Amino acid sequence: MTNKVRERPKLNLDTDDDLDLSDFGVSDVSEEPQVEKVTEPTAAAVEAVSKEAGFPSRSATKTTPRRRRKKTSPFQDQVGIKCRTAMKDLFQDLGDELNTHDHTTFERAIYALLKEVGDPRLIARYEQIVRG
Amino acid sequence: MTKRQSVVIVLAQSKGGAGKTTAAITLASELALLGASVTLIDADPNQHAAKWAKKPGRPEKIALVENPQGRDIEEHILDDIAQAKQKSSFVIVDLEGTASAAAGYGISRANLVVIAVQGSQDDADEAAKTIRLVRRQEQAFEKSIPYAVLITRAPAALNPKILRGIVSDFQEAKTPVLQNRLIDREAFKAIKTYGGTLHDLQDGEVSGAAKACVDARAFTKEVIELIRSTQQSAQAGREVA
Repeated sequence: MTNKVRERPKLNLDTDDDLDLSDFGVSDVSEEPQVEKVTEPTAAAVEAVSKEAGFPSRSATKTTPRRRRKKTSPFQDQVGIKCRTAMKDLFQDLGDELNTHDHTTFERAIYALLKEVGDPRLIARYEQIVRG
Repeated sequence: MTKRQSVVIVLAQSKGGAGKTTAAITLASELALLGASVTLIDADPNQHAAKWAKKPGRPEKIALVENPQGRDIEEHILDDIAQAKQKSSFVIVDLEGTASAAAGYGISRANLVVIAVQGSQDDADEAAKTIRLVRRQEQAFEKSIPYAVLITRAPAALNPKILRGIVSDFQEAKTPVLQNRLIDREAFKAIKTYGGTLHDLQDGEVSGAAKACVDARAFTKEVIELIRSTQQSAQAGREVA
């Protein structure tokens, strides 16, 4: 079969006579259907009932991807300091005691020294660095 | 002439491949050929009804509302129906074969829900789910939503035992089942392939074209009579109240 089927004469089945649609406003082709103001259930109410009946919203499953904000670490530089092996162990034990990582232990140690020296300019520099 | 409000007929069934689109196209075509203005809303992302409508031969009185990929059907379906009601005497909504809120939205605006069922247990089970949704909405919104089961792709000559059992189950549950079935005929497949209506086909070249036309018209007539009777009952109810 090809699309030529469209050009062939239509079947004459005499089926049109027994179905009158004039009461549905179709006898006058120019007439538009009457739009009666009907109070319909709201979308939210329909959605809730549908969900209850096992017809959930697909939109609900579409999650908006959360923008992941990767916090950049302020600890970017490395310091290679020669030290006694036992001193390195002591430094890390101190970190365990304070429950801090090495970089924080190092900063706290500097801050303690700055306070000991008591130079306000150096302390101000420290605070500025830590604030980022 | 009595002016009437636009009629919304929703083809529902949460299982795919049950014959909703065939029924929607058939109903839209028959009503258009009888002179009615029809809007066909394809609310199935697969867009099979829209594909048919875009082929040559669609009756001029059928307007198409399609949902191309990316258009959120749930977001638009209520507005689509409301707008179609302003323009057409009949609005036919072909829903997606899945249990989603779009089905709920369509059903909430329906004057008649036609639930397509093939003679299989899976179809019947999913139809029951759709019927529960209709009934739940009736309770929640205190309004009547007429519905009926349409048997689709039925064998022409036989009435298989499983199908008889399914129909019997629906009847026992007081679920209306349309007398007229859409018989599994080549002609229904042909219009999806070539476009146009069953009446454009010539019997002999497409098997069962004439019988398919008779089936289609009988189905349409039964749907119209059902809508008419439910509207008359509702009118009588309002007058009593």
